[in-house]
Amino acid sequence: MITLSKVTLKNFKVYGGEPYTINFEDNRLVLLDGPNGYGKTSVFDAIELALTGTIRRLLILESRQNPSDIVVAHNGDNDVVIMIEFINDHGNKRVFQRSLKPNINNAARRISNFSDLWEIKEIIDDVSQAIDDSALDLYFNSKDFSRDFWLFHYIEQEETSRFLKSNSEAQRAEELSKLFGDTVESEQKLQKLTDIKKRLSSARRDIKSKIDNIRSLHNLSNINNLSAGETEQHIFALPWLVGEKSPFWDQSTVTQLNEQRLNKAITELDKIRALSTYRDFFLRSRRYHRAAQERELIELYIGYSKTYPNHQGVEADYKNYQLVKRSSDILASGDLKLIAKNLEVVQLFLFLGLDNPENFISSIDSVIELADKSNGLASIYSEILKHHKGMHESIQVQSSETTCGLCGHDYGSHEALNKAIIDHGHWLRTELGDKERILLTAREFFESNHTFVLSKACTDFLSRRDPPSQIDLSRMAKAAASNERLERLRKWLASENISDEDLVAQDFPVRGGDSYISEKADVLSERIRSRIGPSPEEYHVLFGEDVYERTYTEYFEKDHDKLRSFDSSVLDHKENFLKARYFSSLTEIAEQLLKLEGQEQLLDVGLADTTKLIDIVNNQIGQYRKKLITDIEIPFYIYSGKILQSHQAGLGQGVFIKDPLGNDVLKNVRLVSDWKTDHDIMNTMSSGQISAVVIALTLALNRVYAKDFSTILIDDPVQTMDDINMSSLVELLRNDFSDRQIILSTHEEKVARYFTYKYIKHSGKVKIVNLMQRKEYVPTNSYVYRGAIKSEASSAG
Amino acid sequence: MKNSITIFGGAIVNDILNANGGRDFLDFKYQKKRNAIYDLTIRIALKLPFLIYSPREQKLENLSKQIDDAIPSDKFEKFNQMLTAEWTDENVLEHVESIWRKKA
Repeated sequence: MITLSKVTLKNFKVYGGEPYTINFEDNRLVLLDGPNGYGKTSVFDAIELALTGTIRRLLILESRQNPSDIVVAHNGDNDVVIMIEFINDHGNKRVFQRSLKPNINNAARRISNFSDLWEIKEIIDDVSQAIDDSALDLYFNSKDFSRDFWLFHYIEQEETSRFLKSNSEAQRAEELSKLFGDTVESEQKLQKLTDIKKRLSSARRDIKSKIDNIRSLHNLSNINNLSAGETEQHIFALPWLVGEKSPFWDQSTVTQLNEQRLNKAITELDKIRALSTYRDFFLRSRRYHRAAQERELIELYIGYSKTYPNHQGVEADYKNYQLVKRSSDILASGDLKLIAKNLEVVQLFLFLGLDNPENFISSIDSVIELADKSNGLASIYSEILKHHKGMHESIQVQSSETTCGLCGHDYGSHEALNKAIIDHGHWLRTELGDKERILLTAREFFESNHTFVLSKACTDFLSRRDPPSQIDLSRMAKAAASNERLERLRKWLASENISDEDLVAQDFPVRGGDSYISEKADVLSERIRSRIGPSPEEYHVLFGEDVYERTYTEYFEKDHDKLRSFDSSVLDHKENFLKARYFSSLTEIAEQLLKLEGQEQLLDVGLADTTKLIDIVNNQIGQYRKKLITDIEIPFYIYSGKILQSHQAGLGQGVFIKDPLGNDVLKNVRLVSDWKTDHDIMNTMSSGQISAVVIALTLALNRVYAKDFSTILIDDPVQTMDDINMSSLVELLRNDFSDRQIILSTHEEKVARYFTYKYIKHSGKVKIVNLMQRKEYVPTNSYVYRGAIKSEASSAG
Repeated sequence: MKNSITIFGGAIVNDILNANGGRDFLDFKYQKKRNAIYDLTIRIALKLPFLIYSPREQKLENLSKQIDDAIPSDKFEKFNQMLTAEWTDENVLEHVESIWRKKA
C-alpha cells in the first residue's frame, strides 16, 4: 500500500509566507486540529488539487465567482506550489509537485478553467520532470485515480447535509447518484445523444411535412408522361399585347406554372383558336349585333327619317302658332295699354289674313289718349265702371249666384242681383262727367269693333290646329342633326335588303307616339339580326357569345385586322412550349422531392442509430451502477449498521440499497433501512445519521475498490454526528480499516482526544497536527492517557 | 456447518455472509426466508467491533471505456462524430449528411 507521507504548501490559501510542510509519515491516524479558519479544509483542498488537478467544490461556486486573480493563491503575484510525497510498504518514496503553469493570462484565471491552470511534475533526485496525470493512475494501479479519489478516498465536509437541505427531488437523486460512482461524463454524453435525437426527430418531422406538401400540390404521376427533349423557343403569340396587358402564359418567363395554371392557359389558347377558326362568322355576326343594338339611332330612324327634311317648316309653323296663342292671351287681358305695347299687330294681321292693321293701331291709340286726359275723381269712376263691367260679366256667367261680390248682400235670386248690378251701373254712369262719358263710349266702341273681332280670329285659328309637343320637336331636331347617320343607316339597310318602308312613320307628330316607335324599332332590330343567319355547327358548342367577345376584346383589342391576320399555328407552338415548361418545373420538383426523401431516409437511419446508442449508453451506466452496488451492498450494510448503533432501537440494522425495479440495469436507487418501505432514509433519518450513512458508503467503496492508495481523508465528520455514532465510527476505522491511513480533521478537542485514545489503545501510530500553532504532536500511550485515567479514578474515589 | 464451527472469527463471518455467491444476503435483504444463522451472524458482525468482514476486492471499471467497448465498431465513428459536433437548429441536416451520408 502507498501512504501519503508528506505535503508541502507554498503560497496556498492561508498558507502564505514560508512553505509549510505537514509530515504524515506512516501514521495510521493523523488528526488535523484547530479552530475554524486555520486551514483544515485547505490542507484537504491542497491534497485534492495535487492528486486530481482540480478542487471539485470550487465548481459548485462557479456561477457566482468571476475572479481576476488565482482563487487559491495566498499572494496573487507569487507561484503556488503543492509538493506531495508518498511512501510504500517497502519505504520507497516518490514526490510529485503540482504548480501553476507559467505565464497565465487573465482569461485563464476563471474558475471554469481552473484545472487548466495547473501542471504536474515528479521530483526525482531534486530535479522536476514533467509528467501527466496518467502517471498517477499507473502509480496507484487505478483506471481513473481522480475518480477513485473523489469516490472513496475523500469524504468532504457537510457533503451529506448539502443534498439533505435540498427540497428538489431531482437534485437529491443526482447527489445520491454521485455516491454510486462517477457517471457525470457518461451522463453528459447521454444527455447530448438525447438532445441530438430530439433534433433529428424534429428535422424529420419538418422534412416529412415538406414532402407531404409537395405531394398534395403537384400531381407527380404526370412526370411519367413527360415527352423528353422537346424544347420549344419562346415566341409571343400576341405580340401587340405588352406589359400588364400580356397574359401570364404569353410571357417569356411563366411564373408558378403548376397544373392548374397550365390548364387555365390551355383553355385560353382553345378560346383564341376557336375565335380564329370562326372569325368570319364572328365578325359578321358581331356587326349585325352591334347594328341591332344601336337602339337610339333605330328609334330616330323609325320616328323621323321620313319627316325630318321638313324640319324647318315645322319649326316655322310652330312659331306662328305660338304667335297666335300669345296674342290671344294678351287680348283676353282687356288692358288696352298692355295690348298696345305687346301685341305684334302687323304680323298677326298678316298671318291671320286680316286687313288694315293701321286702323286697329290708330283706334287703340286714340282711346288710350282719351283715357290719359281724364283725371281726378271722374277717372276713378271711369276705372270703377271698368271693373264693374268686368264683375258683371263674370257674375252673369255664374247663373246661380245671388250674393254681391263687392258688398256681400244676398239679393235672394240671380235676377235680383243682376238687376241691382245694372242699376248700380246706371247710377255710376250718372256720376260721370262729359269727358268720361265720351271716353266710355269710345272704349266700348273699340272693344266691340276691334278687340272682339281679333280675338275671335285667333280663337278660330287655334281651334283648328293640333300643335306638336316640345318632345316631338326636340326629337325631330335630333334626327335632323343626326341626318348623316340616318342616311348611312338607310343606305346600309337598303344594301342589306332589309325593308323598312312599312315601319318608318310617315307623319309628324308621330301617330301612336312612343309606343309606335318602340314597337317598330324592335321589329327592325329583329330584321337586322335575322340577317346574321345560322352559326357554324360547333361555334356555340365550343363557347358562348360572351366568351368570343371577351377573347376578341382582351386578346385582339377589338381590332378585326389583328384577328383576320392572326396565324393560329402559333397557338400550337405556344401550347407545346407551356407544356414543356410545366414538365421541366415538374422535374425540378421531382428532384427536390427525391432529395427530401433521401434526407428523410438518412434521418431515419440517424434516428435508429441514435436510439441504439442511447440504449447502449443508458444500459452501460445502469450496469455500471448495478455492479457497483452489488459489489458494495454487503459491506455497506455492515458498516452502516456498525456506525448507526442506536438506529432501530439499538437492534443493530444496517442500510439496504434498494433498486425498486430490480433489473440488471439500475434505473432508480433508494437507501432504505427496512426493505419493505419505499421511503428513502433521506426522509426518515436525522442529518447526523445520514452523514454516517454517507461515510459508511464511502468506506464500503474504499474497502471493495481501493487498490494501492491507503489514505482516506475525512473532513470534520462530527459536526452533525452524535457521540454514539462517533464512537462507532472510531471502532469501525481502527478495526476494519486498520490497514488504512486516516487523515481526519476536527475542530473539537474532545473528539481528537477520543480518537487518539482509541487508536493508541489499538497500538496504532497517531499524530496530531495543530494548524493554529502549526505544530505536530505525537501522543504516547504511556503518559497522557494513563495520567488522565488516574486522575479520574482518584477524583471518583 | 454449525457443528463444525470451532473458532468464530472473521473468516467464518465472511463465509456465512457471502454464502451462495451473495444470494443468502439477498434472501436476508428481501426477508424471503428466515435464516437464523445468517440473521445472527450479521447482527454479531454489526455489534462486535472486532469481528471484521473482509469483502472481496473488486475492480472498478472505467465507465467511458466500457461504453466505448459496448458500441458496435460500425457505429463507433458516428458516435464520436455526433458527440464532437456542435448541434444547432440550423446545422442538423448538415451534420446528418456528413455523419450518415458516406455509408448510407
